[in-house]
Amino acid sequence: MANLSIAKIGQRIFNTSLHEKTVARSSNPFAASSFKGNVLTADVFESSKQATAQAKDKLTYSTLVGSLANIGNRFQQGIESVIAFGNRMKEGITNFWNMMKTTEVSFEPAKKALNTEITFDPVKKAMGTAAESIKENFSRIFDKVPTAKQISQMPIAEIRPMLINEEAALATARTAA
Amino acid sequence: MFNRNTTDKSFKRISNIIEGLSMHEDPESINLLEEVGTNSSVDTIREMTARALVKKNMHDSLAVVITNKGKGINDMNTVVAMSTINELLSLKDKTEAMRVLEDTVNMHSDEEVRDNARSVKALMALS
Repeated sequence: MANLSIAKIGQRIFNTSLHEKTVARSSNPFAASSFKGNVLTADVFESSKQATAQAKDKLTYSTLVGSLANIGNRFQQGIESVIAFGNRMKEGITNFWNMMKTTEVSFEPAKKALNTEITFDPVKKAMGTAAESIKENFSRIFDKVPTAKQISQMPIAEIRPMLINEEAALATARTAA
Repeated sequence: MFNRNTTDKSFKRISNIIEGLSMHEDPESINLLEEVGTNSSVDTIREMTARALVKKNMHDSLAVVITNKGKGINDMNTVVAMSTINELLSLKDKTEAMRVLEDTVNMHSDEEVRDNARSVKALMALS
């Protein structure tokens, strides 16, 4: 420790320029701290206490290590389950393939159903009538309407059924409305 | 929608047929118009037919719409009757129409038909 007397302290306080000169001449930058060659025996920046594991900490560490070991075990179990799943899939595909090899694809029932004639005449007739009606209506919509000039050059024998049909169609439409 | 389209198309078609028959040179066209058109239950068809017969401006065609009870100017539907009268008034050559009207006024057995013919004749004389 520095040997400080009251006179020296007074000199330091009241005669700073002299003190600063002294400091400036000194080659040791730590001279102001007044270590004066004393060697530090301990680390002043860290605790000098040794880190020693206590009983409580040991228990915690053992638990941690144990859990780490378990993670590995679980990971292994997961891989095993994936392998088992793959094997099951493979088995399923193999079974399906074997089944397909032994199965004969045939359209016989469908063919039979299509070839069967509708023997219920009223239904057949009704279907036919409906189809005819639809066909007639569509042709009526999409057929090109002949112009008056074209009609005036057609024979009356051809115009007669046209006029009768159109009149009947309109009369029916009016009655329905 | 479907019915409306069908009806519109049918009206267009029948309108063309009737107009074509009004331009047709075959006298049989008058018989066809009288047989089918003037006896139709559809007012529009009767109206179109009556006007087509007037447009033909022939004795037989004019006689159909002037002398027959329930047809042309004697139709129960006022729209059909007025439309026929309007077409008669629109004729450029009214000679044949006046002759048929004169004959009807003088010789027809039905009084109502005679009265109608007289009225139309008066209108045509004024026009």
